[in-house]
Amino acid sequence: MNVNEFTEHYRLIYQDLYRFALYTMRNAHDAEDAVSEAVMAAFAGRANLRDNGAFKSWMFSITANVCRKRLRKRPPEPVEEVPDTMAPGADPAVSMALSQALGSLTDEDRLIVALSVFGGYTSAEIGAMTNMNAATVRSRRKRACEKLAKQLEGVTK
Amino acid sequence: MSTQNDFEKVAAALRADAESHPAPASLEPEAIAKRLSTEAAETGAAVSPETAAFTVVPKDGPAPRRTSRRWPVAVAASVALLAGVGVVAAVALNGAPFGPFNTGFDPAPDALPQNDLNAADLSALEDAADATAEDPFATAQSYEEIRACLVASQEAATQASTFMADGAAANSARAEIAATEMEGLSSAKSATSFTDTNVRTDGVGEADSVKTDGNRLYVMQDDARTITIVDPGDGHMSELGTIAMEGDAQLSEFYLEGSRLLAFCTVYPEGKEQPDGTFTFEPPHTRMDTYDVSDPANPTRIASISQSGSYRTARVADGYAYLFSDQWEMDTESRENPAAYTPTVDGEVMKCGNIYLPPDGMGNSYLVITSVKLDDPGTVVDQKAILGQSGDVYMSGENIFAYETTGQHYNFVPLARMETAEDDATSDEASNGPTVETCIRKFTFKDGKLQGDAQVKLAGMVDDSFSLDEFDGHLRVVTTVYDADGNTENALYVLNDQLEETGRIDNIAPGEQVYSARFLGETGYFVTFKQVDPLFSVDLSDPANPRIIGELKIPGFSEYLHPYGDGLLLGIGMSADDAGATDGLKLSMFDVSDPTNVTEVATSVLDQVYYSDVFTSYKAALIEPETDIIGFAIDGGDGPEYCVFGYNNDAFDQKMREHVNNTGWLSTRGVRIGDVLYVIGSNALESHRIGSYEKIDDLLI
Repeated sequence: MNVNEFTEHYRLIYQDLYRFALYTMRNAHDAEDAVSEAVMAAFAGRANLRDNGAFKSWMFSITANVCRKRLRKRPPEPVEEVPDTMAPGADPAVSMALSQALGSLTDEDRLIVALSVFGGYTSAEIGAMTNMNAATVRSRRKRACEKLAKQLEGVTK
Repeated sequence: MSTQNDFEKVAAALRADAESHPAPASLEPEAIAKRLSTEAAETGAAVSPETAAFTVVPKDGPAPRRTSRRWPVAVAASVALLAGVGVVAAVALNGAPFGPFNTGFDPAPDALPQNDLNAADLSALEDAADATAEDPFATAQSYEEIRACLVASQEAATQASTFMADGAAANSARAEIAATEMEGLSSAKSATSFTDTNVRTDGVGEADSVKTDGNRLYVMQDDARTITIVDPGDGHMSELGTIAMEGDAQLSEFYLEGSRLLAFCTVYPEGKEQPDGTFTFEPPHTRMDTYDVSDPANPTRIASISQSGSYRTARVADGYAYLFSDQWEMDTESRENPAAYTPTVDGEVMKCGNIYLPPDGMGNSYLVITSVKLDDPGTVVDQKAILGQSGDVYMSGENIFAYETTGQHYNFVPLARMETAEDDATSDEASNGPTVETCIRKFTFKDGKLQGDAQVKLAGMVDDSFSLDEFDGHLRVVTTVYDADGNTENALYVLNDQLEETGRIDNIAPGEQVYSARFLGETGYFVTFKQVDPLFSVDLSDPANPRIIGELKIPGFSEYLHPYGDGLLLGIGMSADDAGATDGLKLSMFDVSDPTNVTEVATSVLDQVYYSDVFTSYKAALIEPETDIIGFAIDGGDGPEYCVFGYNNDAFDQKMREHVNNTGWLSTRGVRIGDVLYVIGSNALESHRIGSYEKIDDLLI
């Protein structure tokens, strides 16, 4: 596929792709770098995409793996701090709660949740993208969402 | 239902918050396009490898063969529409009857405008359509017929609801074509026995990234442009020479026969800047370049053929090579110029009589097939194209079966697939799911002549090419069937040589899906899984009456099944606990000497290992019962490793597990020549003495 085609495919998904990276990395700068790296790598390896219809999952898959790689390189952060550099959203209370809640998850769990929300993927698809078993993905997502929902209870409707 | 609320709550909060976090300017499509154009135009630009990495080397060689047509920018836009949304086309398909199809589509060809550009050529090409009027499924009688299918597909796409018709990633466990055993072939020239690529069908050769003829090793590099020729030296390896692709070609894989090497590549032409500042791009084409490698220090290219589309796969049988490519790019705006939306071979438009139409009148991609005699690799013997949705290929010793999933995109996973009732998926969109079907088209390929023979539509989706198998004139197919709510069950079909159903078993393992299959003559085995893995045995000796004769329930599941000598079946997959959560890669040895009473006689689990290349590609397996080698690459979370197991005294025995210095993106391969095992990871080769598996030497290319 050529640049134009690639860009048109990308256009359909880039906002969700960025947001996925953002909530996974919890840092706007890192998210931008991750997506940027993923896009360059994807374009370089576009011969491997046998099926243009699978562009979205392919792109998410690459981005997920770039994020994982970058997360592994990060030093572990203490949970109580809010080290992310995301500007607060429309509702600062919710943003704060979300931020803390996400920070309390492991990197992998956060990635799974973000992939589910912004990619719309099932546990089977996430399993295939990240080489995890679907049942494992399901149970981790369930526990992560329980945790998150609880922490959001006070601030959301 | 509390968990459903939890996910929904979280999702709502995240999405709301995300509204205030749009993508930064540097990630806007226009900015990305600029960067990619610069990267594509520059030479020597290296990109960090996550999927595939290659450096663009300066073009020194002769000018690449190019199609002579100019493709306006409008093509890119219509391609984007097609590719981005068009794949949902078949969502509109409904209620197509199963069973063999005669032509479901016979539109009257429109009269072509008088002022078309190549009217003379056009009518000549269309007259030729009469020559193949006896095809049992519809070939096009005119280019307008073809164009109508393409347009119908586009229109259906724009009307269809927004299914995210995008399933698992392209390299996921369900996507690849599979193969059968190799029996330790020995070359007529070499006295040493060696292992060949693990192929789907015995006697039908396939390409790969590593090949040997017993005398030399040929290793593709991860620049996707070079093949290095290595002297195995009984373990003390050295470089003999290299082959570099010419022009802008990206090498996918290659095939070796005698002193001929066939390199399969895709050429993605660079953009050309137009006076108005936009770029035009010619669409990709596939090339098969034949090299004479009798002198490894001086490999020479002796022939080339090209066809439109990007490389899909190749097969070699009985002295002929068959090249398959996928073409997506088409511009249906130019009614009078069929070259804009029809496949081309060696620069010439394919006769419409060689193009098979889709049974439902809609299609958005071509599978282009050419055949070439190995003795004369520059001459195309026959050419055909199938207009449909993107699919895959299974080639038996007698026939080519091109199959595609319709009613949804090929890789599409209905959002509710595999989710239980209490699960928290976004299952609301799945309730009006389209019917998932598999369309199979059969072609004979005798002496390089390709001829459509029969076609059929079956309910459900196949796992990979091991889910189809031809034996004794019958095609056996096992599918996972989805209902409108995404619930699954599984079915097995037996079809005769006209692909008419002779026997069937329905409603197998409801709620589960097929993870692996292997047909061995009159008995078939397949694995379904949700939490427990039933390995089913099926008696196929009577095509009118297939019967399930055995069901072995064990935890975990096999992703790949391979016969292992008399009465034994090897499974490579994952171990799982009672709840279905996986905990490590598992080898299983099944005693299938009595298919009605299959037992698992041995297992071995690699803890914390969650992936092997074998899950995705059968070519990654090195399995040779005669020398007791079960070789495969794994990812244990700490970089790639290569394992070798043996099996004796009813137990698996781990003979080797070593880290591989594979820093590239190519999958690691194991190859045996004589009593040396060569583990090849992109540019890092290691040799081991079979038996002790002590390392002999290594070579970095």
